[in-house]
Amino acid sequence: MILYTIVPPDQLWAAPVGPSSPVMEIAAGTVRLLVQPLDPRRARIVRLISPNPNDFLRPQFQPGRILEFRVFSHVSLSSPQA
Amino acid sequence: MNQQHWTRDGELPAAPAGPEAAPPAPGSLQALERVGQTQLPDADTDLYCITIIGQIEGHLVLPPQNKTTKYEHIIPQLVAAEQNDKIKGVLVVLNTVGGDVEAGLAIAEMIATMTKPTVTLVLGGGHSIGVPVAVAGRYSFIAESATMTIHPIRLTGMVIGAPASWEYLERMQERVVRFVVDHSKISEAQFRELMMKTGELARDIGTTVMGKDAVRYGLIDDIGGIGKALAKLRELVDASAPPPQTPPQKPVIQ
Repeated sequence: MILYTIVPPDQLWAAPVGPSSPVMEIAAGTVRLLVQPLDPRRARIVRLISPNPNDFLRPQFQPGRILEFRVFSHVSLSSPQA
Repeated sequence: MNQQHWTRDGELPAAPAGPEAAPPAPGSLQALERVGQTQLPDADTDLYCITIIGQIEGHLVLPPQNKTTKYEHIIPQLVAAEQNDKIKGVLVVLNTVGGDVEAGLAIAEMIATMTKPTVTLVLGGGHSIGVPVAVAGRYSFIAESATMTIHPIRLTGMVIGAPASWEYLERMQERVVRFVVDHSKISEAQFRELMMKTGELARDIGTTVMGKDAVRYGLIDDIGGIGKALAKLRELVDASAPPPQTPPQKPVIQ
């Protein structure tokens, strides 16, 4: 594998400074969310990944929002399909 | 608490979830329950927007201090855009410092081979492997303040056989040069000259090409920002509609 980048390798591969917080990726309907687990039930949204620009306007996906993991219930996470 | 939780939950579908609804306090259960509830009118967009930021991450996961765009996120999005009838065009916004050669070329090839109109926009920077991605679209824009760094591919780590490594690097570089020359108006000689120039970069050989120069060299089609890029994409979408019918099959003469 070759990296073709302007970032110097020493900086690229440097050990992370300070305690790094794990980030996990979850799918919510058609979008993907990178979240930072706070405790076994809750996580904070760090980043939204979606090709649909309108998803970035949806308040429920704003970075900083706290999600609660639940067993699958009647609350649908999927975006409107139509 | 539990009782309250269920009551609130039960009321959710009936409550008009308009923009006037008071935003729930951060961290409250209410905020959690609303995930997935559409609060905005679902303005259907027929344009996809794909952002490529930070490092383009490919075969290796980079340490967490790097901000990355992973190819496993981008490639399915491009496949979805290509096969979804509702998507008419794709805007690719770049602000990248480069990254994995193969991941970058994979994304660039995907963009270049799409049948739907694609417009790329370089904002901030489109360096190293960002260059092939930037030229992959049917039409490319660069912000006037944006730059693109063109430099040779570097090898780090252990080198066992110098001639073999040199040969391998040459071939890797050839893939990038070939792609850029094939998908933009820059000549191969000009691109190689920019790549091998000395005295411009402190830590490397190569050139930092400013927005206007990128257009002058033929690397990028036009100077512009989001407005021009979207207008151009819309124009390309309109020009490509109605979708071309498949031509009648000609008998193949062997």
